[in-house]
Amino acid sequence: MKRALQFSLICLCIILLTGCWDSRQLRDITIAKSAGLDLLEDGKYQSTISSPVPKRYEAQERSQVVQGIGHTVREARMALDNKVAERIDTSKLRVLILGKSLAEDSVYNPLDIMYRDPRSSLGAKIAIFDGQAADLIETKLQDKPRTSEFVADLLTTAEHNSLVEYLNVQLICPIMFDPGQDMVLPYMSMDINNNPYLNGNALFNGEKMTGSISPEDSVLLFLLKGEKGGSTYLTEKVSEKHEEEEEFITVLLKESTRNLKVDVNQATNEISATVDLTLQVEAIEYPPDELHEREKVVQLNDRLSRALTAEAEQLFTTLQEANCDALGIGRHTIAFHNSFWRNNDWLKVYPEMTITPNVTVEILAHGIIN
Amino acid sequence: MSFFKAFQNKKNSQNDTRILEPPETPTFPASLDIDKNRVYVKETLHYTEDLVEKKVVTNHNKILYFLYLETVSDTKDMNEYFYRNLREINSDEHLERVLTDRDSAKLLHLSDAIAEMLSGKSLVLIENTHYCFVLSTNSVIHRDVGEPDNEQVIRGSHSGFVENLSVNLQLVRNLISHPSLVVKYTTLGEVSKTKTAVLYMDGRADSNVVEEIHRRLKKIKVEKLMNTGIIEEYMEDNIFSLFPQYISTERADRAALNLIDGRVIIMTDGDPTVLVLPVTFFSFFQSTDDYNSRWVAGNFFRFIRVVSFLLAVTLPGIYIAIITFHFEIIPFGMTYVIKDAVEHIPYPPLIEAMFMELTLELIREAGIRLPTPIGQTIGIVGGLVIGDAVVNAGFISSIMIIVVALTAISSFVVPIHEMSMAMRLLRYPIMIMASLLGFVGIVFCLTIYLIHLCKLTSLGKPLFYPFAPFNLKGLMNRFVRLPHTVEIKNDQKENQKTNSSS
Repeated sequence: MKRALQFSLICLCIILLTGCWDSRQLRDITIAKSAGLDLLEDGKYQSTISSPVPKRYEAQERSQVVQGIGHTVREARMALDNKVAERIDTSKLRVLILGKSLAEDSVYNPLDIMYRDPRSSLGAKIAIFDGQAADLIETKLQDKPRTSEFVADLLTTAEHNSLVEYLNVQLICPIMFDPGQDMVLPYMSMDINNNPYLNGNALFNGEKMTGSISPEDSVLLFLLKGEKGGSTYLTEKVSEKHEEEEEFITVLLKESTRNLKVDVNQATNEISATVDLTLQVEAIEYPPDELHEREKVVQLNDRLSRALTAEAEQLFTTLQEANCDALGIGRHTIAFHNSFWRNNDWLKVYPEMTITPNVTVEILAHGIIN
Repeated sequence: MSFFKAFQNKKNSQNDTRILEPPETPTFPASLDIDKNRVYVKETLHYTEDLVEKKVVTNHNKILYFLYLETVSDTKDMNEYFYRNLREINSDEHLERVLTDRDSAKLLHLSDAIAEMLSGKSLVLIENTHYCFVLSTNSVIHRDVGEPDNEQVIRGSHSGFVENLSVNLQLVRNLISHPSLVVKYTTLGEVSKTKTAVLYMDGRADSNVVEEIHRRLKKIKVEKLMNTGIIEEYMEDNIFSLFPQYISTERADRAALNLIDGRVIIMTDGDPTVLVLPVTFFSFFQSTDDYNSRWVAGNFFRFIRVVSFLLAVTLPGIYIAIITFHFEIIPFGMTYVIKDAVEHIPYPPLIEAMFMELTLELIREAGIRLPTPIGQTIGIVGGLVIGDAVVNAGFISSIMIIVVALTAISSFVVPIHEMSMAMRLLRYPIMIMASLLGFVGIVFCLTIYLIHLCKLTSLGKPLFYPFAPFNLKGLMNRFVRLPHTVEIKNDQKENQKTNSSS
């Protein structure tokens, strides 16, 4: 009987105490809130993390920033561990910032570690920084929240305004490996006063960064992709060249319909794409304000359509130069013209193909001023 | 192992052989010699000093002796005019008629009369007869039928049971004036000889249950003072379970409501608490208030009670699990607030939680028996001083204080005291498992509780009834408080089900 009791006690201990091994006490962990990864000139990775410091040490809101260098990202992170008293945990990571040099080399290499670790934060926002990511992480913003929160909130607002796409570490993975589609990631820069700002989007070809576009083009790009955020604004010049005064109109997007058509000319073995975009908008700022006149509205519709079409053409040229198939034209080709896809190298076809944008704008409402 | 053997009670066994013990006092027929009778009575009562003896001689020279225990008898009106009436009696027939008129009983055995005297009756010995009379002169002490302190309601009846059985029965009879309400008396307790009443509504209560209750009552053999606490342990199907399998209440309307629902009620003399059997798990979350308030509000309160049960049982465990294993699930904004709070706690969350929960239990235990003015002091010292100081000193995180406070409040929400006691105990295994295995441990523990609940019975009826065995209509009737005008017919099916399961 005594033996049986002892035996069952041992069994109970073996089963129950297994969990203690895995316990991670919150107080023994440094929680990284933002992380930056750079590729140094000697080919080594540099990892920078920032973690808010508990208030008891310091009355003011403060963050600690640590850097580590290694041949792989994991080694760089281990180097970080040696510089921090507690264990570093990236499961609450809000923003991951990649340096431009690293992005131009490869985005997947540094992300590999995040996909392998089951605890890593796949919901973290990802952004490319024009320069060393460490510089952005280390920035101490005056009269602004912590840098990590600043960047994360900035990106969330930009998503809402269709300036950047809703993406995180998890969501970019399938796009990165899709041969018929390329990703577009937020691109940040620093002005002369060391204030970070959103500088449009970085264009990728596969896992390599190949170019960038401005915030204005970004909105149009995401509309052409068929993605629309909660409140999307477009500002366009509507005066003709010969007119003396420059006139601008700002419109709020109500409804947008995109129609992408890919055609293959079997005879010449050429591919072309047509992107029809219909925008239904509300004019929210137009100082000349003669919007109650029907002719004026029709004229504005016409001018806006022409201006946007021209911009879209320009945009596609940039995309093709960067060899960035952001719209997923390759996807359509795989689906509808599979034999063409298999017989041609898409990376060579895409920059040469013809893409015809066709933007139609229709002003539906003109606000409360008559 | 002999320790465990002591717990192997045989109350549920079907072995019904009742040992017929000889009565404690040997029978003594009333003798013709009145002095012999007097000596017998005095000797049987060991010459107790509250025994009063009065001699009355009637007109026709019959000697009568009145014997009673002055402490339990009310002899005021006897003293006033009864003795005078007796003296004017001229014949034996007249004497017998006068005595019969005064609510009396004729007994042939003095030994029986002694038992009656102990309950407050007066013994009348008559010269040259082989019988005696007992007059009912019981004095009744009982307080007002005020609202019980631990079961107050906003709206509805405010009458509660008292220590007197007949008053309690009267309260129930007043609420249910139906001929099918049956009262069965038994006397329990080897020494105290407490009168116990079993109430049920014939036709509504399951006859098997009534039978089973009587069978179990017969097995009770205790030397202690009889109260419902002893009965309830004999009535429980599983005394090791942390969950109560009966409801105890002091409210007359709750008792009556349960009677109408087909439950059985056990009352004992001298105890205002009555037992309600058999119950289901969800009866613990019902209050008579639900049926008196509007139905939407009633449902909301009931929902709140169930949520509070879950909170009180799991909240400390969830806190421990999050701090120890799963801090990822804390939302972004809260992560650093919580990290700030736990940064300098010198020991693991389990110790922290145990310390605080035990402090809470201490405060609660200390506060119960203290008179109200001192009780408030305990509240202030315990709640404010300890709560504040312990956080400032850095022993306990402020989040833990919030968790403990929420837990304490939640455990007070459940209207039945037995259930809130169970909740206080149920959280400790969860806390330990949470510290060992995190959320897995909590799920593990809750699963065991659930399995146990599904298996548990109350007098052979499934305790977790509308859920296990599952019955949607039963669920609508019991769990949801429907408007009184809506009726979901389920009776026939329910009876069949319970009959087959018992």
